Amino acid sequence: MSHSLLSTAINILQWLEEDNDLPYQDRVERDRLIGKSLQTGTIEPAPGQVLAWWQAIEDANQAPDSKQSGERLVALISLATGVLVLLGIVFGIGVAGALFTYQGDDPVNLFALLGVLVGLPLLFMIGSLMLLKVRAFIPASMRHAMAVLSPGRWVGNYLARHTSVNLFETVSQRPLRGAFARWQLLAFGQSFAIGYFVGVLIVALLLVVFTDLAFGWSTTLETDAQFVWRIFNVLALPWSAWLPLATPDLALVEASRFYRLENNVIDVATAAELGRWWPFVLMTILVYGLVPRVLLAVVSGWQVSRATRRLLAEGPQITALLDRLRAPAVSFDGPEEGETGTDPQATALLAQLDLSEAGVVIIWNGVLAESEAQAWLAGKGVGDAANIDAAERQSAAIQRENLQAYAQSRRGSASRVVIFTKGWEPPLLAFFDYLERVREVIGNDPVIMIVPLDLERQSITEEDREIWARALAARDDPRLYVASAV
Amino acid sequence: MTALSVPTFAVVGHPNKGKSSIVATLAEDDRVAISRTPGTTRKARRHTFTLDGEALYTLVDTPGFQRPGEVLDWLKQHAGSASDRPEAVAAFVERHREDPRFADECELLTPLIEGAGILYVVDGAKPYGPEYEIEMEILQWTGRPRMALINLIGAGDYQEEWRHALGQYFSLVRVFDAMHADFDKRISLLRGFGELDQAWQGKLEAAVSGLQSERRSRVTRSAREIAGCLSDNLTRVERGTLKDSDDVDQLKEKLGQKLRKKISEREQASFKRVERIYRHEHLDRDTPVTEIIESDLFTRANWEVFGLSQGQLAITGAISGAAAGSGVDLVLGGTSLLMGAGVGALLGGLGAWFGTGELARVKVLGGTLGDRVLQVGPIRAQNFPWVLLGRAWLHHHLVAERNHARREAVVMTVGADNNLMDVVPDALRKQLAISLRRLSRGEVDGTNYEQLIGQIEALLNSAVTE
Repeated sequence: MSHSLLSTAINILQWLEEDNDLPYQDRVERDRLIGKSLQTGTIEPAPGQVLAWWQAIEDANQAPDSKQSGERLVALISLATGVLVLLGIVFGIGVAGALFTYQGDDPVNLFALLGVLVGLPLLFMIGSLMLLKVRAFIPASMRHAMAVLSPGRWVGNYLARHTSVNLFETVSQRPLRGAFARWQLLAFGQSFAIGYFVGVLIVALLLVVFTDLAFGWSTTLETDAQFVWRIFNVLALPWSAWLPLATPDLALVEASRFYRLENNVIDVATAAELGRWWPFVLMTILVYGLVPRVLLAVVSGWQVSRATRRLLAEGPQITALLDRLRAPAVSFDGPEEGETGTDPQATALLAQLDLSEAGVVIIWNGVLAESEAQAWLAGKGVGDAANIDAAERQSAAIQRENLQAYAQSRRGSASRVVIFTKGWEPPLLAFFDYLERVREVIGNDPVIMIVPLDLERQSITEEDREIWARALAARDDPRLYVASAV
Repeated sequence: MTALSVPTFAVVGHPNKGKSSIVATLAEDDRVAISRTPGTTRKARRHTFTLDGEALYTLVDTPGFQRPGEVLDWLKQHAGSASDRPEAVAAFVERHREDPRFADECELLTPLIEGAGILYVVDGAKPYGPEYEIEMEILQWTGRPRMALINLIGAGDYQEEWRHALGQYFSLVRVFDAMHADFDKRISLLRGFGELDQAWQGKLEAAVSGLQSERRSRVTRSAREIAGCLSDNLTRVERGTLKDSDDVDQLKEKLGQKLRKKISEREQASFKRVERIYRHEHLDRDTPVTEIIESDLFTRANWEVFGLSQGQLAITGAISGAAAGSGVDLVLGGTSLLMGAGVGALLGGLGAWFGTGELARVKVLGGTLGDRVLQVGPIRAQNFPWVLLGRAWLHHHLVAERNHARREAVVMTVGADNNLMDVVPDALRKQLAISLRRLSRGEVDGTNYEQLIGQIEALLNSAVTE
């Protein structure tokens, strides 16, 4: 496995997480710019393009903060691997030291020796592989038991807790990361196992070289030596053709059976004969213990490497990145929120409409037809309305002239001007110009009441009246009111 | 008047007729200030649509006419003949550029002098008034190609009388509801802009194509985001070390609360990301998108609305059980006579029908140093994946269909007699059932995951029953 690829992958994934905080549009524009500069014909889409993109990001010094995560995690993985190998060696030495114990009385029981040294680890290995491939068929209790006994899982848990990178959860929150985790934890397990078998082999070799060992077999079952010999021969099949020395013959098997009740001290000749088992024992540990673990370590390393490449080729973040690199960037460049008009804090002057003293009644922008207006005003007790319909279409001079004419005709009683207007239309500056002209003609004292009407010629809603009131309040005229028609 | 290299459209009209709403919707920009208070827009604001850096069209949001009568009077006084009218408009702007009385008119007429097309906006929910004629006459004087857009603000319907009036000044009149126009209507309008000037059609077609491709990409990106959220939340667990003196129930409750909180936070984060995909950058999170979506994920009401009915659960349980069982058949090379699938279906169906009533799985695990670890989660309730998926679907629908002009909270209800998943086609529901089961069990590889994304994409493309 390329550690630099893993460290880059971790850095990229970590950075992409943080990059989510950047507005999408900014990411699209940045990545599309890089995407266009990549020679897509010569670089494989993923992880080639992703790595090329990362190089561009690094060149632009955009990724300084999260860069350490990958390197740190890779260093931790290397350290963990080393520690596991060492722990395995120590454990292997301890276990082998205990199992190879031979005091000169009963020989070392081959069944117990090989069962514990090789058989149990082999079962664990098969269990781990099943956990990896047919997880659903393994009962949960067994899965947990294996997890508790798995050194790989211990390290994985430690790394999951003590690093910010979420790469060690086997039941994945991200499937691709789950695959990485499963193979990486398996690789950790193999490191421990390799150390263990190396420790066992060291002890076995040292004891063979520097002490006298005698091996035998024993069973309560009514089994003859022929059957046991066949079993040992089957075990020795992988090497019997080219290493006959490590293949026990029938005579050796027959001579090696022992009963504890005999309580005999083995004579020297027998002890020497029983010592002939050592090549078989070493080969069994090597072939059924160390070699499968080395092979599995190679396979899991290759799978971790593959999973690492997939981390850079698949998954939501990477696919989204590839989309940003390849798809044309769509954007709307708009200005930031600009200045707005009316002061929302302006105080509104609101009043109820009282037409009893209306000196001049003006109808702005045809909110009421003349006949309608007369009838409407008559209903309100006003018999004579001054209808200045379509004033908004008249020139300023004519507006002023008309206003003066109405004011003249009502001199003495024009204490109040009432202006009806469309409530559903907003007050324009042209209307305010008109109000200024009204004020010019009638002076500052008379009250001007604006009465916005709705489509039914009734009072507008509170909300609309609020809009009108705020707009009129901005005129700074203390005798200008918005009135309700009710 | 000059010809602009990029098709440019000035959105003009009376104040408060929805000009900014139309721009916000077409430019997908929820930053555009929209208010019922007149005079909110004081300066012309340009929104340029670019595809891979190439500007394809520009929309200009402008202030409304404020003193149209005076403007028209001035123009009439300064134009000798009909052919002089565009020059008279340009002269008006030139003459009054520094005059605060005509600041709004200068802002709205400037892009027209520079060669922009006209999009004149009126409110078809309010009656036509003769005062609009002055504005239309001024626009006619500019000589620029123009289209009238009847926007609809409110319940009234005066479209016909508007059509009659507008038809006298505009060769193209369209109805466009800025608040509710869906994506297809927006695209259709954009194409319609091309009718104003043949020379603009190429760029506008490119823009349409870019927008359509972007739309598809958004659904895919949303599907990915939702799949990521499902993946996280369906496998999430909380663990705590259990000491001899600890009260197991208390720790279980504490871890359960933490689990629910983290799941809700992840879901909210996912919602936010989907909103950003659709450029709803400023959707107010304090204002609920819907009461349903913002409410606690674990309330009973939520599960009733978004989850499957018991019958549907049993069927999907049977389907996913059969899928798992068929794995056994496959391993046995058919010698099981499909018993695996049958038994799987039976167990899956029964399991889903009766359930355990347990929300999250609780386990006591052995720790590495002999201590005990209490694990709460993942959530095992049969309906949970469907509730998560249903909420994500509804949220996506609301966000994808929400116009950028809208500022109010959207309230959406699902019929009391139905739940959301009723409208999902059976085939898709079956596929989802299998994928969600795999996801819950952590049995998803890269291929399955891509399949799940495809299924979610198909779901997002389905209509939600309102």
